Amino acid sequence: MVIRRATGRRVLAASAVALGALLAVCVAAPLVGPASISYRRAFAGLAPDSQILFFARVPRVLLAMLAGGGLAVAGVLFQALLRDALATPYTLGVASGASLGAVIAIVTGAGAVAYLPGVWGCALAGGMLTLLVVVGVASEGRRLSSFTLLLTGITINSMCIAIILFLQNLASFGQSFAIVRWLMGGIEPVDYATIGWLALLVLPACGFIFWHSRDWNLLMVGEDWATARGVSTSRLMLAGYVAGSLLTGVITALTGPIGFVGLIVPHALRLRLGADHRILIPCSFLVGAMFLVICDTLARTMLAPGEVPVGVITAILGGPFFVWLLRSKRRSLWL
Amino acid sequence: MSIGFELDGVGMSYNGSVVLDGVSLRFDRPELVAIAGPNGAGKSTMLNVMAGLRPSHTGHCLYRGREIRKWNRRHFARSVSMVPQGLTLMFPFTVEQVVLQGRTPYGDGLFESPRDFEAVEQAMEITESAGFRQRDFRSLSGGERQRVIIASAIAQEPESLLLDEPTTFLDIRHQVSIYRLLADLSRRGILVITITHDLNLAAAFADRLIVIESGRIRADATPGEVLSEQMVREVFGVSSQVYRTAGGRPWIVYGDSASDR
Repeated sequence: MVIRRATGRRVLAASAVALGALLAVCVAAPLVGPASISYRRAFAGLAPDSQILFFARVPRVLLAMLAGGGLAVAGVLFQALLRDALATPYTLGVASGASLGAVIAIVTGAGAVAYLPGVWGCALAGGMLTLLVVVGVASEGRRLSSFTLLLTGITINSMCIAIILFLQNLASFGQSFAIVRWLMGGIEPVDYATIGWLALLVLPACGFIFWHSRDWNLLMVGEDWATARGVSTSRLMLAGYVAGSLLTGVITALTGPIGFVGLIVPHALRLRLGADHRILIPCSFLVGAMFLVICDTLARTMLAPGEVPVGVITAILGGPFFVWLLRSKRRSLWL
Repeated sequence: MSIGFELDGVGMSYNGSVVLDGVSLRFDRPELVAIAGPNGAGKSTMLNVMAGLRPSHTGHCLYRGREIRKWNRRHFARSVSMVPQGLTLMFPFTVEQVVLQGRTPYGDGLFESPRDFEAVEQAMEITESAGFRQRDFRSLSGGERQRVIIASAIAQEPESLLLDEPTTFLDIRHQVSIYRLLADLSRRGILVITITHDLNLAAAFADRLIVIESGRIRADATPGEVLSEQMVREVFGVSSQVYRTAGGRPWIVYGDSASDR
């Protein structure tokens, strides 16, 4: 069913369906794993079920939810702002900047003191620094040129990757492994405080993006088109890029770059639900969250007790699915 | 208070080349105005300045006595709507969704009101685009697209409607029906200003014809006064013969009849 007219009721109905599916997946996912556990024993506080559930599996589900939802929403937004079907949360280079930050932290041993937080901090700083550079280069007075933004993003992307490869050459064997692992993206169990902070950044950013859905609808048609219909285009575009990049930056800092979520979830949903952002954004968040929870569950169970990086799973699962979508729905995608 | 636009010495240049050079014009009553001129004469730039899309112009461009740059964008969009030249969509919007976007300056929340749907219904009826309301905009023909874009501008319920070559890709029936529609809107009290390359259509329907040449106003009067063999030769570099229709409107035949034979 393609939803042709977005009304409050239809947005709620579509979101409720997606939310139901997400909740079902989130309840089932923690039960899957090498050690079989039950909710009854875990809530009764019995070891080891309780520890496995609350300190290993639930935090991963929560992190995967926030990361998947945030990346899908950022993907929708960047596709609209850049008017480019191939845009992803990583198009502006924010994730490459974050990766470079993380790699620098690994190589210099900024992590030797407090390993993971050092990497997170440097990744976040790298991502935000990249955003500043890209926006600075692309702004012409008060206007942002989408075209320059796109090219600057691609350039910064390549530069960061080049520096990462250079650093990896210099790195020790152990560091090199850590770098590759980080670059493949992965959901690690983190403490609840970190998840709380992430939620405090991701949820309001997604709320802001949802609230401006009608404006993205107009901007997706054209900047002049939106301006002529009363939208404060330049201010809103800047706010959109900052919100999307913030989402991408904080998520990438915690998980590394996880590909495909921000590309295939929005496109798959556009084919089903149409392009109206009032429906697309909430559904992208919920379906993106569900997709990454499923992928992460596969990542930690496929080769248990070993782990496959979740970025590998999203690409291996997502790639063929996306190619199939392009083949079967090529006419409605018009790529 | 004056209605409509007042342009006073409006200038604009892109990268050092002057596109508009001290244009002064007044539009103070509902009428159908056609703007013509060679490619690159500055027609679109002038229209964009009037639509508030090029705030970096020099001189003064006022709407209802107030500098357009200083208007609140939403309030301005309730008074003036703009039909751009062509429109390419990358994503699957339906016709109705495109027309609904015209209601943006009226809504505060996330969703349209019943009043918005009423206006959209009316706009689609006027432009005869209701028949394909649920189709993907990208699947429409050039003429259908143009009607949808005009419907979106009409749904905005403007006092002034600016159009940039609205009949470019249309067959003759639709060219005429769009000009009938524009003339009808102007009789209903809307100031309609349209850019055109078809001097005969302008002559047949417009109340006023403005000719722009190299960023300056070359002529501004009724089509009967403006269109002459000399003007067509000097501005467009084409020889022609101007006849009169039974209704007294000018009718131009291009090409030098003597040398054509």
